[in-house]
Amino acid sequence: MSTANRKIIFTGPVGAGKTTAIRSISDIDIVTTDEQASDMAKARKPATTVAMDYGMIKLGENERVHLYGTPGQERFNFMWDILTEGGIGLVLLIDNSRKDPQQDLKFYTQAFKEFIAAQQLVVGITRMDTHRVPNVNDYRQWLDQLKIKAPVFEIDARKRDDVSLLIQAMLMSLAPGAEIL
Amino acid sequence: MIDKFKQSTTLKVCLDDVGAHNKAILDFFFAKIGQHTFRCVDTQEDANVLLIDYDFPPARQRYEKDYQQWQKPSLILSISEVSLKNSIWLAKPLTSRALLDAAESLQAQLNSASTDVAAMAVDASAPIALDTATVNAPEKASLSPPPLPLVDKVVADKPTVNQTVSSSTMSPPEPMSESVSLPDSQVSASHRESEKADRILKLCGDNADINSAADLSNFYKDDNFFLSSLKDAIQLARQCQQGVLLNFPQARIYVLPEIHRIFCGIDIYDDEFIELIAACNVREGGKMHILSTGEIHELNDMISQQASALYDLEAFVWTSTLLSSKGNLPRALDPKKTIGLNHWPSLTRLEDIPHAMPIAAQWSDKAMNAFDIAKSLNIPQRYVFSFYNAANSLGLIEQDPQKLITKQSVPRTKDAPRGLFSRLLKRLVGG
Repeated sequence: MSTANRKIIFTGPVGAGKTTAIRSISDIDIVTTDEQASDMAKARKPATTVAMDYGMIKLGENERVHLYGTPGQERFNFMWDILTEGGIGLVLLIDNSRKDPQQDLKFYTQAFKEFIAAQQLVVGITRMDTHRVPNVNDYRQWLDQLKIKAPVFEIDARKRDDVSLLIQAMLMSLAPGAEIL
Repeated sequence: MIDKFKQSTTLKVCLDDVGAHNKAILDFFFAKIGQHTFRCVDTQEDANVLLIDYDFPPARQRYEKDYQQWQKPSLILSISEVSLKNSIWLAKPLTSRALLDAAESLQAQLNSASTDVAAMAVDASAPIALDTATVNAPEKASLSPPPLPLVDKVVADKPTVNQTVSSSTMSPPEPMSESVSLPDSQVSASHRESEKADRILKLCGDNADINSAADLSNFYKDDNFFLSSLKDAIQLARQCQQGVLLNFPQARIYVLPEIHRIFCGIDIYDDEFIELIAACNVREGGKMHILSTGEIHELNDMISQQASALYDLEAFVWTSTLLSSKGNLPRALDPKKTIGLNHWPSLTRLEDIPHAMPIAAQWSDKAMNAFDIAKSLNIPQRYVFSFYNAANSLGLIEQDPQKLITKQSVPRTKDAPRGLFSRLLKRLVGG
């Protein structure tokens, strides 16, 4: 069976937890392209993804779902179109501790506008445990303003269950009523 | 030279370990009066002075576990006196005077501890010894009420009743520890399953399906007194954006809209909470009022002693609604009416009920009535009614389908690969 078109894309700003989320859910040791951060990203974490992260969920002998994480920094946005090609959905992780999460939400939903329209977006809010404001309801209102319908969950990217539920919501939104085979 | 000296003793602080309320106060202070004394940095590693909200459990934990060993001078914010080596205690509520006094003291300490000012300016993280000191903010000088408490996530690990989205009621048991012998683990798994089933019964009841054409007049069950009081308290708290105390003889419930939390001394996952919901009545309690300064102090103390009693507001309302309705619907929610789901509940932080995920997906995709949702998913109606009721309590249901936001989508070139999705779902839920 071809596996070329089975991709889930993880995106979001630097430090939002994309690499961690993929690591949480992947069946293999993830392939990362982390490098020593040399710009503003350095303030948030010492190493950052410069090309992509890669993980995989094995569904059987021949079937695979590939997990790709985009680099967070805008200057790598030329990678984003390449990575989303053939993807089935987008996991947008927003770091609630950043200065303007609403702006981050706007930026990434705009950057992936066409992909979101064609597939399905789910939003995971990270670091909400230590940064309670804005809350999940604020994100819902912001998505309303952007005319985007997407599940929004508070998540801890280190927890498999949280990341799993986010992806389940994506799949269920794409195919409501899908049965588990 | 003097300018240079002052520059080198700028206090670099990180606000990551301060709650939202005090952070807002400090942001304002740093932008105005404190702009020449303090500078915000992104991480505690970059700071030369640690700024720690000691009433904020995750901050306190991080300080005690990690930061303290760095031996950087620290500013400790707390409503109660804190005496720690190398730190200055700043009493809450914060005042400009107290902050400036503390800053002056810190700068003096930093300067005297360093024999090379220039070197210190380069290496902001150099550990510097500092005597314990306290700077008490004169509480009477401040007319503003003390800040509401901000505490770490408490319901982070929600009790799992059912992690699956499957049509089966139970999720597969979690992987068992290798060190546990098989018979014990089987017993343990069986016990967990039994506990899950018991909890689901308490949340969703055991009503049999009803005929949608039947007379529903005896079916409805209006919100009980506890739930209606809770909803009123939340509404009041949101309107005035202040903490509200809801008083019952058995428990005091604090609604804290600013931090989207509820403090309740009774464990909502315990049977005692079910008893509270059942026992509440209008003659005994249910009165509510905006928190006074004294009550906020009292609450801060309680939270520091019992952080686990602080719940996510939506998780608290969700569970309270389910426990008080047990699969029934209030009269205001007609199961024959076509409605839609405005927004998904944040299912990662809410107590699980069977089929919550497929119900959310179906109702989010298309406006339908509750009977049709149950029929289309081939699941018992009580789970749909439970979801409907709880989601409605969270304000996620749109009664007028015309008002629902529809996804702006482009036609897909291919149909969704449902087979793949089903297999992936199975894999994700542990099958």
